[in-house]
Amino acid sequence: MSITVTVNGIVQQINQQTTLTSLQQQLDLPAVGCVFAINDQIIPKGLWSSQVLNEGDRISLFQAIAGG
Amino acid sequence: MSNNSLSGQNLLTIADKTFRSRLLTGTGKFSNRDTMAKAIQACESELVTMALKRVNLETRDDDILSPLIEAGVNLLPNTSGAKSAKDAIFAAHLAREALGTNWLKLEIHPDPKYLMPDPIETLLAAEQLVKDGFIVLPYCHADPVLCKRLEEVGCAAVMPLGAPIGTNKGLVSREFLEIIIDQANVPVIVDAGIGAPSDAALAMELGADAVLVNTAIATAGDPIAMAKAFKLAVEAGRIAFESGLAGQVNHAVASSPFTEFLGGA
Amino acid sequence: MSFLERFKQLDWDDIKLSIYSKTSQDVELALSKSKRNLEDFKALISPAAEPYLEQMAQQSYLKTRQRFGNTMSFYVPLYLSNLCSNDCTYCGFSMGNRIKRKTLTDDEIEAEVEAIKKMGFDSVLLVTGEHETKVGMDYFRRTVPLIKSSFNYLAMEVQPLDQAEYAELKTLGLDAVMVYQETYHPSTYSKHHLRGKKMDFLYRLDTPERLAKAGIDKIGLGALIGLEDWRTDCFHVAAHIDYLEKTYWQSRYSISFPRLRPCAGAMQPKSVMSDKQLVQLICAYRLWNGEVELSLSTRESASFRDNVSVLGITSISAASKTQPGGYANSNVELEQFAISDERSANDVALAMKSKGLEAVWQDWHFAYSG
Repeated sequence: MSITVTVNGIVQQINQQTTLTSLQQQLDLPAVGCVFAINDQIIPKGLWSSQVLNEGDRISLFQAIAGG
Repeated sequence: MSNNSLSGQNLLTIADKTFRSRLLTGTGKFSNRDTMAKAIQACESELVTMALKRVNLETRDDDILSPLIEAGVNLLPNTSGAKSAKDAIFAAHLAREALGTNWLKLEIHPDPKYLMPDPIETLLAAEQLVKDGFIVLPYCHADPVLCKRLEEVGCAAVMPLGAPIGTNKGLVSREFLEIIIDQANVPVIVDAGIGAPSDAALAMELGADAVLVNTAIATAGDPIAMAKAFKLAVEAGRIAFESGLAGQVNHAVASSPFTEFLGGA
Repeated sequence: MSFLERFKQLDWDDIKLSIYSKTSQDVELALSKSKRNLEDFKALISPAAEPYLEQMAQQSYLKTRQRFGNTMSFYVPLYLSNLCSNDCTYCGFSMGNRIKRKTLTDDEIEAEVEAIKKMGFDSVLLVTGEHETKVGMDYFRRTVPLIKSSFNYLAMEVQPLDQAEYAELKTLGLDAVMVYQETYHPSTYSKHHLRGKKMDFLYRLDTPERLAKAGIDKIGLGALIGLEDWRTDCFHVAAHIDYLEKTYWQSRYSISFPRLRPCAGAMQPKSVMSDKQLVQLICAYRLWNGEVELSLSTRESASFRDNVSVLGITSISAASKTQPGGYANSNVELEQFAISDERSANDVALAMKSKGLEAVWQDWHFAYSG
């Protein structure tokens, strides 16, 4: 069963019961330097493996990049 | 490589950390990640800034963090992109979660042309972020009163600008930097506008505690060599300051002697 | 860090040694700088600076003119009471001294105010002994607004009060407070303060900070020169101001330099400061700090005051009477200290004019606040 979420504004179909940790792996994100917010709520790293995504979640994903 | 006597006697203390290097660097504008990493290594900078942005799932940005973490530098995420205190506070929490550090360079520029920092939003955000447990290093205009206000709300340092970001114009705000340095109870880090090693040396001679340099290194002909030049300039400026610069001789106008009335007393 | 904590870091003997070890090279370096720190101040008050006095005076003159223009502020002390519950070896008002004690009533105050206004003054310094119960907050609550209604600027030199009391007096019109530590050397301090609340060295030392926290506009500090090694004591005054300026950056500061003078119950000063040294001190303060007010009272002679007026002083008193009721009634009862310059306010103003300084009776600083 798949659900619809947006990741940084882009609509994505993902499996039900997907956690943030599996999303991180699916998107091939580095271990350090990333952070997720779901519906503008920042999710602590410790909860990524337990945080299950729901239908309609607006996921924001940020990463450290070069800057002054 | 540099021993204590070359770097100056006093270490730089910000909040609860001490640093040997008084040169902070930014990671922006380098042509590639490898050059960036080598330049930072060459100048032995220990506190390095980076930004946060939404991941573009199509075209990924370079992972700049791994080389920095490997080099053991302290991370100083900034809130660039924030146009208001609300944005900056959100960005700060994101950065803390993403990088595992509560150190923060607070920068709020609603003006996209000149990137001038918003003093009101910066003060509001600083006050809240200090309460939220951040070590706040605010980037601001060289406004002496604003710097005292930022200090009073608990910022760990102040980062007044030398000139607008990216202009390499040097210490345009010199007069005001001197006032800020004179009045400050926290470290003063001159940020933005430093275009040449001589600018960095001057800032240190005036008594600044540190400088932050990004554009002048990243866009130099040879960034790695330029980084080294900045390192030497910051050290030279600091040693000069600590050794007691001889001032210019002022020739006072002697009309008639002021102390003649004392006689032989 | 509070000043009390900062004070613990100041070692009297180290500082004294440091001052006396300054060389002519240190002095020349200090003189060549445009921005001077406390180490430079030490050099400028050290014996090594004595040969450079004329140069110091020239620079101090220029620096003062640049910041203050060609003006001299005038103020007058108004002694409200000579009641005191302290015993201080150097003061005529000591509780042990058998003098006629007086505290002015409202009517007597009005008479003083009238006499003072006729002299042209608009800035007044209220002075009392230190008697908490008989001349305390109740007395001040009544008299401060009463007197302030007739003058533009009101300062006080009374016993140290609590922060809340200062804040309250500020709402009643208080602009400035002078509180002199007398000496920053705790054991010498205890030798001269034998009875009464003034024995509490630390409470007094903390007073400028309480004043700053209460938002008082101008805070006056000073040491009583002669109680201890004057150089070390005056360094502590500078260090105190240095601390206050950095933390309470919205207040103004003032320094006075009373030299021990004869009074009833006379005692010998531990160190005697010559006229030359007082000039050196005034110039050193000014060279170190361009903004601080330097205030000279009528303890000093007319000719000394006239000569020194251009060198860095920005505020002087004139025609002072240091006994309560002395303006309306000029019979000398017992003064707190002997006046040397007895000229009228007008004469002093004319003397200043001859030096190129315009007498300023009113401080325009408060155009818009309260």
